[in-house]
Amino acid sequence: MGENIVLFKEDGKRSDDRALDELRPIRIKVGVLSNAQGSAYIEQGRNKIIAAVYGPKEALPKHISLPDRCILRCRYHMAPFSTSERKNPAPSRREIELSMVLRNALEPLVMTSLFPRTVIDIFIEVLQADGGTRCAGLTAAVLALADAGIPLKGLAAACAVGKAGGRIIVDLNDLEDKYGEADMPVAYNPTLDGITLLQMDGIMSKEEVEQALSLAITATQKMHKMQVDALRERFSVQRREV
Amino acid sequence: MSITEQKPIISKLEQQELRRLLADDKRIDGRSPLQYRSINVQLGYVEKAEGSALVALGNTKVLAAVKVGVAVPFADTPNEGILIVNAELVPLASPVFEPGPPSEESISLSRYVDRSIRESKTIDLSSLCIVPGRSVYSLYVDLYILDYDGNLIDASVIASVNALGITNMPKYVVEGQAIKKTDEYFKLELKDHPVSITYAFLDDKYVVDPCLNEEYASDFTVSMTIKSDDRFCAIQKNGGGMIPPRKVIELLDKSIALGKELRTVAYGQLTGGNG
Amino acid sequence: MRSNEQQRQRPIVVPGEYVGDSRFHVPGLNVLKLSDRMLSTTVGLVRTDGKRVDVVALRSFYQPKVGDLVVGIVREPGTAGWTIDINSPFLAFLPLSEYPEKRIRLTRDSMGRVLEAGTVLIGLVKDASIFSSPVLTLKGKGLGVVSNGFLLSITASKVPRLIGKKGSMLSTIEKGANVKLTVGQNGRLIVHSEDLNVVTKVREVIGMIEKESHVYGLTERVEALLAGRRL
Repeated sequence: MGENIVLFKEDGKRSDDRALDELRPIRIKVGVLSNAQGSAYIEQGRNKIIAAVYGPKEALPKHISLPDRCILRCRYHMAPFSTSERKNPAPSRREIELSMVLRNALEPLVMTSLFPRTVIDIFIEVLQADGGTRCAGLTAAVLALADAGIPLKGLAAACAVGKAGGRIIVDLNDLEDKYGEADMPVAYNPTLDGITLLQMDGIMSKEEVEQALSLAITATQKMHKMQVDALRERFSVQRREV
Repeated sequence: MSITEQKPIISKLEQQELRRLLADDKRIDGRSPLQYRSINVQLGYVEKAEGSALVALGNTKVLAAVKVGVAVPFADTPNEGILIVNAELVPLASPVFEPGPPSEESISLSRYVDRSIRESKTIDLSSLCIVPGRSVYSLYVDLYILDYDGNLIDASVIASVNALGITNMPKYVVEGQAIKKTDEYFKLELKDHPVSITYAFLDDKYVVDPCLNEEYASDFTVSMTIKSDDRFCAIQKNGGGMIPPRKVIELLDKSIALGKELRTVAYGQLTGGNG
Repeated sequence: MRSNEQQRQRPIVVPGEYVGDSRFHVPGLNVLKLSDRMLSTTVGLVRTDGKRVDVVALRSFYQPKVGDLVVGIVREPGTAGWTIDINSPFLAFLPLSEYPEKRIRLTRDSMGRVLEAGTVLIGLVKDASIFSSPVLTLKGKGLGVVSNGFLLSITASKVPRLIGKKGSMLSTIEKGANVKLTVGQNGRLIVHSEDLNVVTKVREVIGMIEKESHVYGLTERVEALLAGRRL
């Protein structure tokens, strides 16, 4: 099983020619949708994900609202054409779990007590998937929240680290996710030194988890810089001289 | 859509008490922060199931039952048996469990227990093949939550592994083009005995095996599933809040010692009997 | 042949970015204090006012304050009043008692006809708390229903820039386009004119302010735009 899957080439590079701790090429653009209050688009390797934020707005029906803070509604969803095999558009159990995991990862960043009885809707749509979609989705969703002008306790970026061929690697692509030994998505907020998303499945020793965690922090800090640049770029003005 | 939950309100006084006790490393039920509640395992509770176990972790009660069948294997794993874990938060277990389609909590629980069993390779699925590409054994592990007093994850993992540990597999043989069920049975061999350790965080303190009020009062929980060889096969942070990286590493350390202890208590009947 | 020139811009801060030391400054709008560090919570521009450090958000939604002039749109009649959309997370409420026409005997049915859904009005925020719906009044000079003119929008946090110091930017626009504007704090404004050319010009100016509120020399460029010159 998976005998003919090559995760590492002869020269030690990964299947897509990356070094062990190298991120895939990332492109981020903030403010891409005209209707949403905030939005962001991310490309990470072959991942193409768009995040949109609507709100804060009045939470209706009233029974879902909380009297002293705003609530979040989060939907993580993969388009039917996002994967090699067409995915049924109905929410899968994985999407239901990830919607919850992502909401829990985003909520601690939002200063919710400033908007009682309101709701913030966050939509994360995966247009093309190639491993690490929840992480890229979170990275974009944070930017969408910032774009909407919602006060945040800093930004957070996410990256999946893991193990393949016995080696600890950063930013797993789809192949490594499927055929590697472990996959560990991590979302990190450098302002408060806090992890808001943490999952692992596979087999890793304590030392390997520690090493992977440390690489995840470094990787997310790199991505955080890209987020800052993308936010600044969104509001910068380029003038042309005719 | 995942919506911020309406957590049951714990009175301010109870919350204060919890935090004051914790500041002194004490808990409302007298346990120390890294102490588990009493565990009671009844093997073979459901005779009609091929394997079953009723586990009580303090007041939390989980019944796991294994039903064995045959099925067509999944296309991408033609030589492997099928394992499906499904948890049901039965309404009678708690005033907050409502009847209806699976909630995100039950789905999340099912998937975490599944990962704990699958990633640890507790079952060698490739040994459950009858006719490659055509016919394999299917193992349905159904988790029935009967009483909710916190920490469904650890209780469910213990119940599942115990149920699988005594599962009697009906033997199927190939006869021409068909497969036939015989009167023979064989024991499902467990390759590992994983346990999960769940920590609940209140401010910057944490306790293991949270009871219901501790879970409600906590900011988030972190569960770690550890194999017999002290390697981790599943980790999940549940709930909002943030955890500093160094605390994660602290938990990894604690889990190794706690895992050994818990495994002895939780799986004593499985391993003890066989020597 | 064209070349890009980065206009001199005020530095933009992002959420989590350091904006000052709380031992020497006081945290103001959109600023979070973490032990000694003061951090921005939004994407915006730092503004220091004596010891206070604020971050003026570049993108935000309107949060009503008592005394704000707002341009609202009637949503529907409710019990004893109307719900009004003021472009804020909460719908505002205009109670019957704050409607200026005393002579009309208002019944539940006639309320919908007195103020139809979609009616634009200029009101004042009488009551605002984050825990309940803001309350408006139409009683006052310059307040009431707007039947003619054009309705435009700008991000609420840019309204101070649109009005300018002591109303200077607003004056510039009104003189340059020869029109009267009513600007609501909630980011909506009324162009009191029937002339389509006028509103097109004002729209362009609003668009420029929206995009370039943080770029130096904005007033000059607005003036140039109004005069039909290209800078």
